[in-house]
Amino acid sequence: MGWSRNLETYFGKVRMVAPSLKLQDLIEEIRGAKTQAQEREVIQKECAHIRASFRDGDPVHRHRQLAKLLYVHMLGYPAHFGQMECLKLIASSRFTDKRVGYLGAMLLLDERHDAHLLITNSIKNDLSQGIQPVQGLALCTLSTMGSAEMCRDLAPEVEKLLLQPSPYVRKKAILTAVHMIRKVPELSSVFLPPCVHLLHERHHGILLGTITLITELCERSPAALRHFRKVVPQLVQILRTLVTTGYSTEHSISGVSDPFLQVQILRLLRILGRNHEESSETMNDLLAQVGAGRRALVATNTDTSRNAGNAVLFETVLTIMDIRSAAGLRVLAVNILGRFLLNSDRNIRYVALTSLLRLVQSDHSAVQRHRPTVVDCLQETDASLSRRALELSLALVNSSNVRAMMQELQAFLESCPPDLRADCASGILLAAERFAPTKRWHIDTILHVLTTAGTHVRDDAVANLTQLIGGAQELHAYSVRRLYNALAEDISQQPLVQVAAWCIGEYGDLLLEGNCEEIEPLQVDEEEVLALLEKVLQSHMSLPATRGYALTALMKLSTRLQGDNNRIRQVVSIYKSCLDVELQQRAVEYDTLFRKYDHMRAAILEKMPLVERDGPQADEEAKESKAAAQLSEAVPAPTEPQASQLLDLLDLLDGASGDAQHPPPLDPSPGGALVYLLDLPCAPPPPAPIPDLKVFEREGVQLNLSFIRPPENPALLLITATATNSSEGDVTDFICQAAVPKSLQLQMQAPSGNTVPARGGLPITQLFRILNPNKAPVRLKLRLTYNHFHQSVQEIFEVNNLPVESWQ
Amino acid sequence: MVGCAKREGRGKRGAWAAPAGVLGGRPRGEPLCLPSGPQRPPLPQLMRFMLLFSRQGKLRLQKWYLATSDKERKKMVRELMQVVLARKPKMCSFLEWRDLKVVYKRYASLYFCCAIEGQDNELITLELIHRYVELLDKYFGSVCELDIIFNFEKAYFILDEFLMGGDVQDTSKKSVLKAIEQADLLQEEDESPRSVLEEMGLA
Repeated sequence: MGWSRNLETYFGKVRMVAPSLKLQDLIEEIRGAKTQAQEREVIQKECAHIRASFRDGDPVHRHRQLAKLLYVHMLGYPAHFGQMECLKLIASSRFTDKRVGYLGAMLLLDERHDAHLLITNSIKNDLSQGIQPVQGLALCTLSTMGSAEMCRDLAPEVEKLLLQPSPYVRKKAILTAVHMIRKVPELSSVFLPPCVHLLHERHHGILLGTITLITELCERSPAALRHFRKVVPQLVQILRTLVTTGYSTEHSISGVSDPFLQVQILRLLRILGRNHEESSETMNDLLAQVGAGRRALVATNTDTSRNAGNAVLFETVLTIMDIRSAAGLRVLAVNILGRFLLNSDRNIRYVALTSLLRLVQSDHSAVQRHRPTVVDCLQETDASLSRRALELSLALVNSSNVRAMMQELQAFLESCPPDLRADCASGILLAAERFAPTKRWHIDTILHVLTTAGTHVRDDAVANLTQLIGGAQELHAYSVRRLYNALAEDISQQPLVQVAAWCIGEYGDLLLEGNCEEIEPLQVDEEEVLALLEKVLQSHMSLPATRGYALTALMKLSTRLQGDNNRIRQVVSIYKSCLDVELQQRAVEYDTLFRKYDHMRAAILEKMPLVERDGPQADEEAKESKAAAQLSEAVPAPTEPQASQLLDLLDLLDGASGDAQHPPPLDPSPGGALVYLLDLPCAPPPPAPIPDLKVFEREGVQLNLSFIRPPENPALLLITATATNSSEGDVTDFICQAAVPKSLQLQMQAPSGNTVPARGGLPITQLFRILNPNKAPVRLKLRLTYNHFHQSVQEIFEVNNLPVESWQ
Repeated sequence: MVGCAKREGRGKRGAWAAPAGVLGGRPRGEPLCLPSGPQRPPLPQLMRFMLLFSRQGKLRLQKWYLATSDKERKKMVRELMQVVLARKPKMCSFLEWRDLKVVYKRYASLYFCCAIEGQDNELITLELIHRYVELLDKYFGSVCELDIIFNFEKAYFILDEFLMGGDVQDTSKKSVLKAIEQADLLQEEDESPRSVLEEMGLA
């Protein structure tokens, strides 16, 4: 034992004297470690050596020690003790030292460490000592980790270097200036003046840097933006030269002249041309040339996956779409995107889909032309592409293509990845709601969605469907049959089950009648129907709400079916002792109906009247019995007003006075809860209507606002904007946008369309919801854009004269 | 008409409220939608960082262009590596992570990853990554991961001649490589015979 210890000490001493490990040898050793623990051991040992070496102040190997330290730092080990060594290395006169020292500074130092300021002086010296690689190192470090203080200190040096003859140093100085402006925006005043002059350079690096610098200046200051608009013609010239003759082949990629420079110029043009007619006009020709010229190149090239060329083309598209470009140019841009969609390169399809998504509202008809291609993209294997394709497809649905589109989308729904199901389902339902050609088609569509993706639909889908079916009297028989068939096949999809149960309850008589021209006649037995509902009740897959539906449906059938009600009474009786409180209550109530109020049962369980879904008030002429049936559907109450009606009821029970509505006095009577169910609040008196307001008129195109304030929500103001057209020309691409003062909240719903045909054609309506809890005076700023008589119209105006009743 | 309910009417990029989207705004995971309607101005462009890492999740290079604490860097690197390594080969090169766009490409066993904000043109970033790989390839002669492991400092030097502050310095491959060559020469001149003797402990 003593022997081995002696050996250790002997070898240890030898190790100390031996030259330190070379970087590559250390890396070799680390990689040779078999386990994490072994690696840690090797590194810790080496770090100890490095620390000792730093302590000893060995200048010769310092750079190697730091390099090793930087390596282990990348593996995640602490390296803070090397910070001061960076400073020493930077201050050394050897280039090797500086190279590693500056690298260390960029990796280990940042503005959080006080030490970082100490390199300012070294940088200053290196910037002015004239050896280009050294100046390059200093500039690079400054632009990577320079703090605001350092930037302020060194701005004069960098400014000087902008005027140096050597392009190597100048290009770096320019980009350092970019960083400085990011850190200290006030330095813009220092670096703005040289820009215009620098634009005359021919060196690509300098040009690129200058354009980057100008872009940064313009993005940060509207004054700079205005100042640089004057260079638009020059930029156009530079780009034109690049595209047509090309400065040099040295900078080309796949036949495209310096794509990086082209893209940067296009980006700057985009910023300068935004909202500026004159600049935009100057660019129009060039953009058309680039857009069309590239098309030719792509067409003749067999290999269309040239990313560089496509990158330039894409930037062109982005610029066209963002500036005030001519209509033809916009169409060109959309068409380029459309062709991108056909490209075999997935990345190009991705950018195309993303951009088309941004354009679908403003350039709807242009994007429509590419609908078939978009729909094909639904089959993409990459989820982010199919997601975008889905959104775009949904945005392209309109009244003329709705049938075809829904077919595609429903096919997609069947096979789409699970995380897209919910959005696809709700998208289909919403689109169906907006564009359904017939009620039957609408019902079929919803049915299909519920059977395919029932678990993924939104909560209000059930309410919407029941509402829809309820309103389509001629389709009751059809609906109930289809739903019955669907239910018989599958009772697991809860929304479907709920709707089916409701329907069977409501229209059970039609189900049993047996004749419906639209479907094959089906002989349905009463017992079968009851058995199915019971199955739903008992199934462990059924949610409590679903069971509620089923129980109520059973109850309703007691008046719809011919046979005796023993079976139903039995089921109801069983559930009187159900553990679920909601079900138990219903069962008790229904049972009581059978036993004590049988004479009223038929009236109570009559068919429900159609409930106003969006209206703030319920049926005003609700008879007692009908309203009771309505209230027994408490769980599926879909709308806010109904819920608040229920709350009123609770107020009644508590004896509180509630809000402005005054319910009729209660007759005290035995029967407890059931009586209160039967006693109804009468509908609240309608508030005095607020007068409409005409806010805009131009050449026969008018915009009117009408106001509703729902009584149970005084902070809410619903404005319906109606656009009418009494002129001889159609209004197309009508878009209305609104803004409100900060104290209000605005939510806009989708308009009913974007075309108002001439001579009093169907107007466009759009609903605004404004929340005004502080009763601040409502002001609106509206922006209308539309095409009329072959001209594009844009109007921005404020509406300050809203009637006082709309906000007080 | 599409729009994300989450971003509706926030008025950050302009006061106009856009109508609610067809999809009714249920944001999930990767944001389903992007702000639509009138174009928003392009955001100031900035490359936040560039990472190189292997399929096993070993970091080979990290260049940060925005001041970030060591702890935060480690967290971001770990997270992003996980996300990128989980991507299947047939997926596109772009993804959205946190509030950034990430452009990545796999070259043999190495992933090259750039995180960018304000850049609408992902294709040109791909071109940028490819240019860097070409530079490495020219310098090392058919570069492979081992070259970058054993010469990591050179990889940094080359990157620093190509990009500065995340922006392209020079679009000529020749020019960048020449600059590296000159710097290497300058370094070699420094290494005089004297240092060899020092190595052996004889000076």
